[in-house]
Amino acid sequence: MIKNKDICLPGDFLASIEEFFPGSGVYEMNGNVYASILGKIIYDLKERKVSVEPIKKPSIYLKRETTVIAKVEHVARNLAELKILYVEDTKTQTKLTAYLILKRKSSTLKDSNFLKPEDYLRARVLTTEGNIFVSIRGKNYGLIYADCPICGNPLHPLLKNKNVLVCNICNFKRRSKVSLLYIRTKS
Amino acid sequence: MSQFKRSDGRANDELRPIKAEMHVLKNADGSAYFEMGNTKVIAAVYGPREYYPKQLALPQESMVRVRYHMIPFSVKERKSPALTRREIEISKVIKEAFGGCIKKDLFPRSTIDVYIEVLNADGSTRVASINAVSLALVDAGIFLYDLVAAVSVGKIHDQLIVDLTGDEDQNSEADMPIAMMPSLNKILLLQMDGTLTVEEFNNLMKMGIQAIKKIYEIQKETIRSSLESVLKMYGQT
Repeated sequence: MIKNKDICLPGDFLASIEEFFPGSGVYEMNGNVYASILGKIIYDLKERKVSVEPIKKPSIYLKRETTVIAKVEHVARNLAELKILYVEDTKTQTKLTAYLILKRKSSTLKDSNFLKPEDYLRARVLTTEGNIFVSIRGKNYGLIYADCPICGNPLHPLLKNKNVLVCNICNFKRRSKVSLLYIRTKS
Repeated sequence: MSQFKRSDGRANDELRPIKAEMHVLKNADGSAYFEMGNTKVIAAVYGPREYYPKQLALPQESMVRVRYHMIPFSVKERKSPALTRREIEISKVIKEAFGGCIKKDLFPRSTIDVYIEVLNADGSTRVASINAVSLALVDAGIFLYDLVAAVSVGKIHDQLIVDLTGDEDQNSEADMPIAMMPSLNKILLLQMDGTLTVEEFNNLMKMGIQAIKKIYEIQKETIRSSLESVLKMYGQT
């Protein structure tokens, strides 16, 4: 009898479709549910779902709602191109390209300084089908680190308005969407 | 039927001693070493990673790229390190075999790169490569429908044999590499060189499938035995 947390290999029979729905890390074929990755079997008796928790996730195992840390590579009028550096706090070996849609209609985003190349963002994945699209909506998402484009020193959010970044050396100011997890450095 | 004895004294349906190991290369995402008698193969898997040039990437699924290569000292006479016609063909054959086994839809616009190096060739190199790649893919955490196990079968002096050595391969009347997903009972690769009657073909298929099931068990045993080190490596218990 297969138990919860048992180790399974790709191709191992887990259940028939009448007993459990297929979750992540499994697939259904001819009415049977099989494992598709080396991992631990998880039977969800409430939802009647079987899934496999991978022991080793592939380097670009991205799902919807996954949190990523990305670096801005290029900013166009309505779109920013990012390189994903970390997936859920794990450094990725391969730098994936993701896109962030910039809604220019919003009055706060009209500023051309909203996003700059070399900025670091904390974002969540919206979709991985085709291109990877991310979003920075939410308190914890947005800029987490940016340098001053004039003097190169780190920018800091103002205490009064967290969405305004200021350089302590040259007083350069820019408005952006800043995460609550912005990295404060000593300057 | 003539009295025929195999050069290494094996029974006709007996496999050569098999040794398999996983995670042999530190820098690859997944790697494996597979030995069938004197045939020694090492396989490395990189990816899924972004495909360049981007405009050629497939929007709905990942690509599989395979490079099968025999190193110059793997054969009796030194071989040029450049890819030969045979190596390019085998790369294509292995790529097509694994195309049916990898769940490619999970990683669109990406590529999975497989590099195979034959360290020592003594027949059945392509099936040893397939067995090695199967383990390396599991090591890399790639989503698969099943493990792939492969074996070569053939006919020599009117005898049907399993797991041909280099000499047997050269003197055989027919040889047939088979690769399949044993749990799902699906054949991924079936090639044939030479001539066989329908009855011989059916018998060879039966012998091949039996041998594949033995290799499948060895592969599963290898994964289970290397699990402890893998769990330690990824901080799980």
